[in-house]
Amino acid sequence: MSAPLTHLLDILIPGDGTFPRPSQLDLAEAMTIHERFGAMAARMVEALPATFDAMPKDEQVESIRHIEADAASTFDPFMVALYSLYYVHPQVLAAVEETSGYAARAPQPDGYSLKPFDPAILAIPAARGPQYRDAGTGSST
Amino acid sequence: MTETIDDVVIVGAGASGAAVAWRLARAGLKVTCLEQGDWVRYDEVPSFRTDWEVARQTSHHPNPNVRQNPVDYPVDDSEAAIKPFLYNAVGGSTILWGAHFPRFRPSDFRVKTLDGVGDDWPISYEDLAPYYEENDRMMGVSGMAGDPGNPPRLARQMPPLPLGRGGERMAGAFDRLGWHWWPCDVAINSKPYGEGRGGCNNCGPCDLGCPSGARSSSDVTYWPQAIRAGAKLVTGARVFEIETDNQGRATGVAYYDRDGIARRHKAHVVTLAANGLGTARLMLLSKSKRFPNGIANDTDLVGRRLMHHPTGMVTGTFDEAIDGYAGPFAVSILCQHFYETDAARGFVRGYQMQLVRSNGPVGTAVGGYLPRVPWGERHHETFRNTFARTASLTVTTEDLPRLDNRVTLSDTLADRWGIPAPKMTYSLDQNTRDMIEHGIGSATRAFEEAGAVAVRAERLVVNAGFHLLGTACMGSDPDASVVDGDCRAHGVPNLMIVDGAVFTTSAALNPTPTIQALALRAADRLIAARRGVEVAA
Ligand SMILES: Cc1cc2nc3c(=O)[nH]c(=O)nc-3n(C[C@H](O)[C@H](O)[C@H](O)COP(=O)(O)OP(=O)(O)OC[C@H]3O[C@@H](n4cnc5c(N)ncnc54)[C@H](O)[C@@H]3O)c2cc1C
Repeated sequence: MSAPLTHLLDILIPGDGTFPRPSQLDLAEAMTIHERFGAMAARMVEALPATFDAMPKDEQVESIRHIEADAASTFDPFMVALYSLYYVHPQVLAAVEETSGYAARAPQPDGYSLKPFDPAILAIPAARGPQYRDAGTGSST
Repeated sequence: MTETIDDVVIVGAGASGAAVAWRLARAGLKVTCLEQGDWVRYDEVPSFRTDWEVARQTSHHPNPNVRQNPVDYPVDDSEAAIKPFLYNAVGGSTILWGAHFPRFRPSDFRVKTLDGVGDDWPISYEDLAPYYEENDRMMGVSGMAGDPGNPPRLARQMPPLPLGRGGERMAGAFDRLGWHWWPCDVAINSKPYGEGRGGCNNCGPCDLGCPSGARSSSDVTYWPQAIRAGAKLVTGARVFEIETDNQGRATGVAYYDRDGIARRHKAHVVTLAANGLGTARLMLLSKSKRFPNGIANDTDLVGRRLMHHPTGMVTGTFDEAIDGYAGPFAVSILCQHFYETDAARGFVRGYQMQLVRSNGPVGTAVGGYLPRVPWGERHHETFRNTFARTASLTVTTEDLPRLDNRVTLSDTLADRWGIPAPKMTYSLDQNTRDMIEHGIGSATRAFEEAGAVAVRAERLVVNAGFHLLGTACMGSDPDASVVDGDCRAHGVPNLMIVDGAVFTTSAALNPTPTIQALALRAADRLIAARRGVEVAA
């Protein structure tokens, strides 16, 4: 696992109150060994300046912004990979649950309960006359 | 190569291939369908796992170039403003689809007569109406008959799905604006319907496969019945050529089996159901002395007139959670208030606005309906203000056919057996851009009326090539179309095309009910004309 990657991830997702930093989740490691995302991480690390780790924070941020603007084909897939792994981590899902009420579980088998459709909501549209155009082919309005 | 002979060989086991196979097999015809993908297993769908959203970005991504599953074929989209979305499996793209199930309107079949653009279809809404009904019964539709926005139809098989809090808010906004809306017709069970198919539990990601079978797809609706009626389905079979005799009649197809061994399948009638993209590709691949430009392509129309439904997307963010991650992702309510031509708007034809729900945490962060949540110090603040609080309106426009929007064969890409990939060349015209702009204005107004605290528009959703239409268009003039009103190729009487390739124009509505109704009708016309169809000796 590379130090620049660990460093990079924490700059991209600094974490706050309830949300952990990627380094607290060993996300760089998970990314590096991921069957599909590993290559995206490797390309991104290659795109970083060789001295990235030693740079002051504002220069690091600046160098990431450059890659974002000039090398979207490297940066965009990398961000998909990062957000994909971060937001499915159990600790992050727990934080999402705390902040939004979204249940930190798989959608199946329980699904979600929603209020059934109530036909009364159609009072206004159902009272209209035909709204479609007569094409002269038989379904006249 | 080994040989077998059938009445009909079908290429592709998706929405249209399944429908046509069922209808023909039920009439006693000997039918085989060749499908390059496999059956989907519903006992191991990703939505049983907490990391389900990773599948959406990888193995279940709708773009085959991103997904890169071994059964996929690549698509050269280097010159395409809209990227291709499709799936290769028994069930075809209905494995991933949102199951919004609207019918075209009568005017959609007469755009030349009514508006002086595109071409009229050689058939009418009324010709298709009984087949829409039959298809509704086979797929199972939740919804509400009685929409004044469309011709009358039989009672839907099931009541509408829950609208969700976003749907209810937007319905109220449409009412206050005086804009007509209606709950979507949806091919998702709101209660158990069909063979062993349960009711929807609002889990959200229909595209990852529905373990209860509530979300219809042709592998769980048509195929079991087609197979019982005697249809044979061969998976792992990639067709690379439609073969012909000296007179130019189809004799069958050549394909690679799952081990890459070339085989031949003979039949009196060849039916293409490989999706508007795959069908054009296969026709262009099928060159012979008689058809040097590809089968049934003397007019050079095969692959041309490619149509999508160019889509703008407007997302409203509310100041409270509306839980849009719950409920089928693509469907809630439909507004067709701006559907028909109104000269005062400055463009011809119109658009639908379809309310879609929202995403899970990953989908919210990577963006789609909204831009990607920015990285850096404000990342979590933005995420908190967005997640579970948004709903989106698609502005889905009618794409008019243009000859330079087309499918050709790629010089650079091929699939794993070396079959050249299709290449899409596609751009938008000004009429479409004007329509999208108008639609963004309308959708923005609707969200403001609904009380959204922020509204944001994406002017063209690049990742929205779900509907691939028009590449072997239907018409009565053999010099200006590829197939006739019965879906049979003008130059090759025993070649039938039943997927979205045959669309004369695109309408501004999701196409699958129309694709399947056309396939059922084409099957009936073939059965009726069977003895008269000229086949190879
Ligand atoms: C993410 C997504 C969401 C969608 N949502 C909706 C919606 O809400 N409503 C709607 O109406 N439509 C929707 N669609 C579109 C809908 O899925 C298609 O319109 C429909 O499936 C097209 O049917 P078809 O039979 O033409 O092609 P498909 O269903 O795509 O089937 C074609 C089949 O042919 C096979 N094939 C192709 N080439 C070959 C070959 N050479 N040899 C062997 N087999 C081959 C493929 O593997 C595939 O299985 C959606 C699509 C996607 C991808």
